[in-house]
Amino acid sequence: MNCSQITRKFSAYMDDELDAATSHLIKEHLEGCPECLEFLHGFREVDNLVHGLPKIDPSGDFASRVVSAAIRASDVSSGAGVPFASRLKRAVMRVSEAIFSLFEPGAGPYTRTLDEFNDCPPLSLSFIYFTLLEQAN
Amino acid sequence: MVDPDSALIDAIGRGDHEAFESLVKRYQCPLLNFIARTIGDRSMAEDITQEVLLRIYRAAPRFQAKTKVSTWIFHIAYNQALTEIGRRKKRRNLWQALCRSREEAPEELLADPLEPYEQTEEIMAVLGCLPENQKAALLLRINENLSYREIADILEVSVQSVESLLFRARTSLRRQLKKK
Repeated sequence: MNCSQITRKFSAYMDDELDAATSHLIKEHLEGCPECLEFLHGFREVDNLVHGLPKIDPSGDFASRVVSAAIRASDVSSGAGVPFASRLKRAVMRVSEAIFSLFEPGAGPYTRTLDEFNDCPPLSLSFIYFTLLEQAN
Repeated sequence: MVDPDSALIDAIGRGDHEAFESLVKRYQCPLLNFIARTIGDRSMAEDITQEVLLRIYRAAPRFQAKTKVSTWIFHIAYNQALTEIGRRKKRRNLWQALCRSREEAPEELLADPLEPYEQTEEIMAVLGCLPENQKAALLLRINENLSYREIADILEVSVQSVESLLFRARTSLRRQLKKK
């Protein structure tokens, strides 16, 4: 093997991924070839620099956050502790609240007043909601 | 040889939260470092690490011991890192397209998000320039001391490709560091 073929094997040589015969061949070559030896030192230096990079530590509560998230996720998927009807009702309520909060008077500069929705068709969801809202007020 | 993490994964699959906590504590540092260096962004790395660990939690009941647990875990981490890199590239391309006609583009949005998190560190800067597969192969070999077979399973390439990736990565780094 010439120098070019030898250097191409350096990664595997350093990482002990070569068979014994090839490894021995490279070892012998290195004893008589300062250029290849220099090349190999360059590789070792790269490894040392990468290995010596400062380690990054996770934030202190990382493990507990991940475990809590996993427990929450498994509770949600199994529906543990909360009956289906309650979860469905809660989800419907949340969606309704989100939609109708857009029309709440005085909630912000971009909301619209209730008067604009006076012409809702009878028995529509909006009509029922506004009627209930009026009664509540 | 028996994989020491197999019992943990079995227990997690049965819903054992303490086993999951042990796994999180064992892998949080290696995963965080691997992801941070692969995507070149420390700030996002913790979120991605959490996502990887939650994926492991969800997938544990379906884990088949064809590979080592650590190989499987790093495979998930590598895929998540690639997804994040792809997302960033898309976002960057979109902003470049949007800002092409503008005289002044918002610098913080056009800044290369793939740049390493600490520009001053030469080695990080040079590492950040490597293609993702070379970088991942190098980090898995040097920091995790994984065999070529394990790295090949994680990156879904052949063992010969791993040898080639590592050779090219080390050659590039050696050349770049010599220049500095």
